[in-house]
Amino acid sequence: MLKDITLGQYFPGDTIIHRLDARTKIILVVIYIVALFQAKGWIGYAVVTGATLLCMTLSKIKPSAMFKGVKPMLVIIVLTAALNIFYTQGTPIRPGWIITWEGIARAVQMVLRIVLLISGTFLLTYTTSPIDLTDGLELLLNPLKKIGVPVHEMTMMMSMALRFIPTLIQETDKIMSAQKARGADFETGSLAQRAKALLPILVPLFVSAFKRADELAVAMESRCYHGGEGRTRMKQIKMCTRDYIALALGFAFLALMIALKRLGL
Amino acid sequence: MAEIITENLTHVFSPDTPFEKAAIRDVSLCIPQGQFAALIGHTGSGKSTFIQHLNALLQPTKGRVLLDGQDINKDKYTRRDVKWKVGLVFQYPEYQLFEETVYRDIAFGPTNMKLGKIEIDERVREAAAFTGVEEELFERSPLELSGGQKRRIAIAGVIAMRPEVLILDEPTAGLDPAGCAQILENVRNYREKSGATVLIVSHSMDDVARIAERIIVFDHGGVAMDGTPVEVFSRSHELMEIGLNVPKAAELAVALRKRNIPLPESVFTHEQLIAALLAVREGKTC
Repeated sequence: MLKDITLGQYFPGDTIIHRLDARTKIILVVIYIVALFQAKGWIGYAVVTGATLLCMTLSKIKPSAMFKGVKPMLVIIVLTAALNIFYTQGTPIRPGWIITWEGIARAVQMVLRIVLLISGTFLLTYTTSPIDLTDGLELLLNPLKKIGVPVHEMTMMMSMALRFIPTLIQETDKIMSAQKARGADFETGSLAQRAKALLPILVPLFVSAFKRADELAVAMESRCYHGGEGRTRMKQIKMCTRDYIALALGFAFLALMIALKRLGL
Repeated sequence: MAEIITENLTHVFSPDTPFEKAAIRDVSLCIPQGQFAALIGHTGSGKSTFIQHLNALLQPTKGRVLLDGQDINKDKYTRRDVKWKVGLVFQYPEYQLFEETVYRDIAFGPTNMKLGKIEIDERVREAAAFTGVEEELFERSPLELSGGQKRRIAIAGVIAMRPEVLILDEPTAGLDPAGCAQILENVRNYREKSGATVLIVSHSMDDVARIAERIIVFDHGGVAMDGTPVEVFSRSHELMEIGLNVPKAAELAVALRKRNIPLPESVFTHEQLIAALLAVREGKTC
């Protein structure tokens, strides 16, 4: 049951989107988010939706995988839609009704905005391996090292956290089964009882997580890891022509969205 | 009384997705009351999935599991009660210890059974005695003890439920030879005193050869061989084809047979090998 969680899952592939430099993709996602929030009218939304669909097609990620990313947010999406439908002033769709045409329009736009926001960011994690992602992030944030921000350490922690999420999930599953075999009951009882029932899972999980962390630290030290200073990379990443073209397209897209906003479309 | 029967047990993980995988397929077995059986098979052969069906931790995709003729998955009450009757000790069980004291950890199962205080106390002491956990350790934290001690405490935690069927997944993995021998001795002891059925999952052919009455070999989610140690280990060639090794003594016997030393097929423990070799030598000198 716990295995179904999608958390920054990576779908390996060899499309143009996969081949882009991680840095390019991170910058493009930032541009995309800014551009998305420029959309005001229907034409603006149509352009963003079109761009998103184009990228999705290029990346060959299945729509079902995209939907899986959106699913956990369903409650928020439905709530947003409902609030917008019922609380927007305007002309009622029928005399006397509380639902207005403006409300429906706003609800559609808000839902579209949330769905696009999620799909856009998921496209990044679906097409970029976690290692590339943290490497890219580290290189992008490199200038901050000058003012004393421990960029390397932060990204190292991030990649380790990402690496160990599946391991911890597996471990939780195993401990849960073991405690169930001893008659532990996680499903019935009051809230307080159920919270207490989690103790037999959490204690062993923490014990093993700390042990694992300790072992990992020893393993890293014995391979002479001492932080980011003077550390070279096995895989040098380099921006190439397609990255510059992609970035140019990204900025052009942003300019288009700002222009559309000015025109009130 | 505890007899376990599986009928056409099949379990499919992630059905109707591209990741669909049948972990076990059409497994029909009968493990009679009081038998000491061993389950062997390499990683991914479905052994762990199979044993988790026997106490209803996993529900079969197809087929049934019967405990004394009763379907254990009949409703949620039978599913819960079967956990007391069929005790399952997982691989590396020491990772499930969580209580502040050894005593309370062993008492976790009986407490979940909602037994009285006196009954729980009696069972904890009995289980500790079976597994060789000294009573001086009762007030210590289980987390500060050695690996072998933790393992025995974890097994005591299951024995304290007085299961009629005891299933152990790789109980000797990662222990030193003395620790291995002790655990196996504890299990044998529990079976003798309680008359329980025991199913042990193991990689160690030498352990299995020594203690089990029956050996069930799993391969690709199904039963590949089933019989007494003599029957199974005499088919050493097939075992090796599946990717399993045979006990060290049996391996040596095969090598000796190739050099024209006439050893019987039923040799698979050190003692038997020594006896057979002595017999051959006497035969030659006479």
